[in-house]
Amino acid sequence: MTTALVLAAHGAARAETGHAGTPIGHSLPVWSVLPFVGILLSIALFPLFAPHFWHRHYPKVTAFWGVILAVPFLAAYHGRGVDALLHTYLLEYIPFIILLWALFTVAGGIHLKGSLNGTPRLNTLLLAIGTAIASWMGTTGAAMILIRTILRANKWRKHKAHVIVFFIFLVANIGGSLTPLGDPPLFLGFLVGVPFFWTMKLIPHMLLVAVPLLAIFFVMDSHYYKKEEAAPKTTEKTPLKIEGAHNLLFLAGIVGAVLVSGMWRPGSATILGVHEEIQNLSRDGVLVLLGLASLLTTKKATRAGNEFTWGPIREVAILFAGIFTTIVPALAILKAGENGALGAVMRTIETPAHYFWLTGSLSSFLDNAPSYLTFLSSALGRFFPDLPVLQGVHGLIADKSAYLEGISLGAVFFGANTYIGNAPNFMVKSIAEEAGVRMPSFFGYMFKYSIPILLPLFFLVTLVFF
Amino acid sequence: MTTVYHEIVFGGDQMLLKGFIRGFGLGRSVEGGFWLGGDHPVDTGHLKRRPLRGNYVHAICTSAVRRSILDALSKAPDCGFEILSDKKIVRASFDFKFDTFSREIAATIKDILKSLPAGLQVLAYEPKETVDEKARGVELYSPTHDYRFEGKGRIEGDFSDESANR
Repeated sequence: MTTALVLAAHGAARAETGHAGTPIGHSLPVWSVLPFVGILLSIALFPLFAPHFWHRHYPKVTAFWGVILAVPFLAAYHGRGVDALLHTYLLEYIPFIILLWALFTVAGGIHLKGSLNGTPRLNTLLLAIGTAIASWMGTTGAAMILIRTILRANKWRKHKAHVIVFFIFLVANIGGSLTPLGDPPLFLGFLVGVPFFWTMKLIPHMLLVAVPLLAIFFVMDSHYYKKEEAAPKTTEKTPLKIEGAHNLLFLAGIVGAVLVSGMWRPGSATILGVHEEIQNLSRDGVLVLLGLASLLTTKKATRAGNEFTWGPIREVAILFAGIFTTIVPALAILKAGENGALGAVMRTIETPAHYFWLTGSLSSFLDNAPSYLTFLSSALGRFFPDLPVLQGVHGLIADKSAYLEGISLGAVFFGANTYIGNAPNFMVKSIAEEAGVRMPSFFGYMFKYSIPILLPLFFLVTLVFF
Repeated sequence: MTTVYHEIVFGGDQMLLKGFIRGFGLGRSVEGGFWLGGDHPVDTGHLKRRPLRGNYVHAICTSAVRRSILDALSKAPDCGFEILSDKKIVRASFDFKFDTFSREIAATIKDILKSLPAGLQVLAYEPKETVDEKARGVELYSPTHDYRFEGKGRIEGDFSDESANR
């Protein structure tokens, strides 16, 4: 609270000296990012060290960090502070939540049924399919649809933890790198001006990681498969069937709505003093309608097959409300470039490879969406300081595309490095454990799998593309 | 008729001994009834003399297999192997522990512990079953399990065919 009061005094003093026209990022002190750091560390560490406390009290912890920033921030910057928060909520947070809600609701209405036998060939095929669909229905949606299918197929096997680990690598992370629908950071990029199909230029990068991963998996699974006792001969063979397949149409509708919002320019409106584009409001409206249509037309039994609940969306809504509040000073400081409190730090980050590895390092241990935003703002501040974000993003795409590639890939790929790197990782681990799979520990996952397998591939990406 | 088991400790190079014993089993068409200590976590606990690793091999075998191997070794005294210990197994025990979030696996564990073969008993059994209805369902950022079954104990008893196979 003492820190919060000092922040208020500092900001108020600057306002009184008549710096009203100066961007906020020029005057914010570096410790104004502490609530942002605090909430990210809470999301990363509480699930590991105090999971039950976190499960029960994460809304309060989130509110704590949000209030400890918002109250002094608004006291210091008054109308400009309100403006900054409203911009963040109306232009980024609400569309972000609406898209995640729509994807989650629609994907949750698709249930795969049937008996499969977990051979190396089938497992590799399932992973490849999951990797391919992750970019179109989101990594969380793809994981939710396929995880129980792959668990059922491998139920009789003794050695199967590696199947789930590679599932986390490919379906819950790498696969989501090709469209804004695939992973939250890429949608945030889309919201600030990155064109929908821009991420398609990451296909070579994605293939350079995904194909070797599938090959390594096939070899590893073949090795473990030979150690298994013979597969049980099931007397009842249930054919593979997709329940709720009509949700694929709603999914196509989501893709279409997001695509159109990137191309159609009907005009703008002002809501609560914030300039809103009509195409974005329309997109959000269509997404809500598609999600509601999915809820109305999908049987409860189909959703029950996926153990669908609103818990994950509630978590995302609450946690990201806190993240989007506390991130405001961090992004403002970074966007100010040399004029901001982190100018000296930003001078040391020079090449696209730096951005790839630094975004990735942060994304490995903290959520990948704020990691992406942090380094995107850093790049904007470095090359296009104090320009409007849209203009800066277009400048990055036109002249510094490799930097945006590094940031996008670092945010998405490195989320596979730890259980806390990306939201679906923990979900997949939890579902697997409840199905009886003995998953590696936090450090076991890193030292046995992600460090020896993923990091060399990321070095390869660096050598080839950066 | 209940099979009698023996624990034999052979002195000699571990790999050579393993090769000999496996070759012996194949040559004599001996199937089963023989377990090498290096392949299973066998600890006799009573050996006072502990040679360096690689210089001895524990083996558990049936009386019939024991007779065959000792007979073969007696005809080749210069083969480099010696019998360090040869004892009949009267009782055996092993510690166990488990920790699962799966209700299905928990039910299987409970069934196994309830239906042990005759002559075996569970000692110092400490099960703990936790149910948290509020944790039911999938989570992304605050994963907790709604069910956990953990415990440990010791199974002790006569070393019979069934316990050997288990």
